[in-house]
Amino acid sequence: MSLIEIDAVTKTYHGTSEDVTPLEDLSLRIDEGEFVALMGPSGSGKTTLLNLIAGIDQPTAGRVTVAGEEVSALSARELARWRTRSVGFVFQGYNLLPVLTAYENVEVPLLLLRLPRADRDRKVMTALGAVGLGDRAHHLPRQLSGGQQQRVSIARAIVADPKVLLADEPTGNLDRVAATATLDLLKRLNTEFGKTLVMVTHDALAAGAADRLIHLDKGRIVEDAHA
Amino acid sequence: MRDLLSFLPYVVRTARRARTRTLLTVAGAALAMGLFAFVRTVERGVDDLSARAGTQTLVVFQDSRFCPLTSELPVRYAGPIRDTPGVEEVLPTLVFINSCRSNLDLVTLHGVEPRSIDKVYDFKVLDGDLAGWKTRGDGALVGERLAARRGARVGERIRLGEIDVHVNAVVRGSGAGIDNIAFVHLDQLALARKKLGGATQFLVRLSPGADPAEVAETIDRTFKNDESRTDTKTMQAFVAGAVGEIREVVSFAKMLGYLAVVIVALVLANTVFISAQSRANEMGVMETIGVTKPLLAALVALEGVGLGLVGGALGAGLVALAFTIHPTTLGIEGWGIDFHPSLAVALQTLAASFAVGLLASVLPAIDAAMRPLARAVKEE
Repeated sequence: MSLIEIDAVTKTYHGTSEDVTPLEDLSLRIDEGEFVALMGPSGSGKTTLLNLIAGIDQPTAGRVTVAGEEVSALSARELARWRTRSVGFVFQGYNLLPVLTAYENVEVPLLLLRLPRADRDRKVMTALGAVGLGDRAHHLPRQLSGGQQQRVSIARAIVADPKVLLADEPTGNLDRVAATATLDLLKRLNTEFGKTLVMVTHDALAAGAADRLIHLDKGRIVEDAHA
Repeated sequence: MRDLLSFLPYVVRTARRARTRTLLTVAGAALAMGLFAFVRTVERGVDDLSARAGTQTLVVFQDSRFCPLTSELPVRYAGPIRDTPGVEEVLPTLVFINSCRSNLDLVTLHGVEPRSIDKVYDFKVLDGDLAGWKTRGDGALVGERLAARRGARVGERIRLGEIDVHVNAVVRGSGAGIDNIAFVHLDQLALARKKLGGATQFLVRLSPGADPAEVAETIDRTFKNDESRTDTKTMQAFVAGAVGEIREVVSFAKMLGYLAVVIVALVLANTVFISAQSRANEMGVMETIGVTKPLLAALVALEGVGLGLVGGALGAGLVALAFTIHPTTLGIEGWGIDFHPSLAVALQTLAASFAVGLLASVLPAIDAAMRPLARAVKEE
């Protein structure tokens, strides 16, 4: 059984003048432990697909199941709790909370899980250690470089030990060196920690880190190849 | 609630991040809530004066006169009043005040017969002694508030109104206005004011069970055809008449106070709305991590309530500080309305600030919670 199952999913946004359908009758299976890169031109539906897997958006038709949980059928409250436990999200623009330190940013998911302080402390420091930023724990995001901020956001994504990591253009704002370091980190999380990774990217270098490439165009899969 | 408290540092630091906006909002809230606290303090002073005016004491005044400066009755009226059924004790009083109009430097002298004073007034001697005053012609019993305003101490000579007096004691009374009065010997004040044989009013203590309205009517009937007609009221009605105008002013001020509260609610709502709008992406990210929409709305509301409470605490604190440093008494027709800093007013102001903060946050909180997550995450 696949970890992520997308069954005949259609997503339509109703606009004032016309409806837009970024995904149409799309089906996809992703197994546990895979590192998948979603590629395609702008408007091809990559980010929409990622949002559906994360439960950020709901399909107009079809079904999204992640780790046996039908995400598209969960209530808003259940979905929020599910996201905290089951999915880690890495954004292009890092999206750290600017008023919180690196430590506090990584701690946020654990606050929502209501873990005791000692457990939180241990997990946060482990996550920051895993991304090589144990010594930057008490720095604010503005005191960190772009690459470091992205690593903090990866630490935040993995701190609750989710099975799935979703990354939307994680190297899009980084220079080549930082991008390579970020991709190495993501690859390590995939191979050493068994995280299933789904990454949206335009970047061939980033796509090279994945072991499966899925090309989308106009809301449909046009190519699905293993590296 | 636990989740909300977990995010308290985030809310506080977010407010601090937009420092100028936060400071301006808090300053506006402080001013408005300070006005609210000030008006409540004044209203409380008026209420307190009225509440301390009893119904078992009558005031006999000259008919159709409203100011102690113009009421003149013969001291000899004391005899017939004392003989009226239902009367226990009578205290002829010659009143001198520095102004009948509203003023903030009220000096009220009551010239009374020393032997009867403690039969009509209930007061506690805070410093000095009552017996010494009874035997000293130029002595004065000074009310606690008046003593504080004038810096009068026992044993000193001070000038009050137009006479020099020796301070025998400082007293605190349970009746209306006593704390703002200096009691002197009737003869001494009459001599100074060239009103020998005259009195401004008579204070009448009723016997237990006596009907105030009936006794008042009897007294007025007694002097109906005498040289000066009288108008007798209970102390409560007398004080109510004196502070009637100021009550109307306070009612008007109250409206302004409420208006200020409404304005601060709008200012707060605007600040919280802008703050929440500018953090749409941040909120989207938090939601992606697992923050629920109700918690998101609560975080927005917490910011509004926090700003309102800080402003309210500052406003109430400033008003309390002002009245502590500068004890103020508003004089009107010889009655002193004291403005005290009070815990009750501070708590009312904080409660109002909380309500205003909450009310101001409702729309921004709903707006933040209703924003589709996919759209919020995109807004960078």
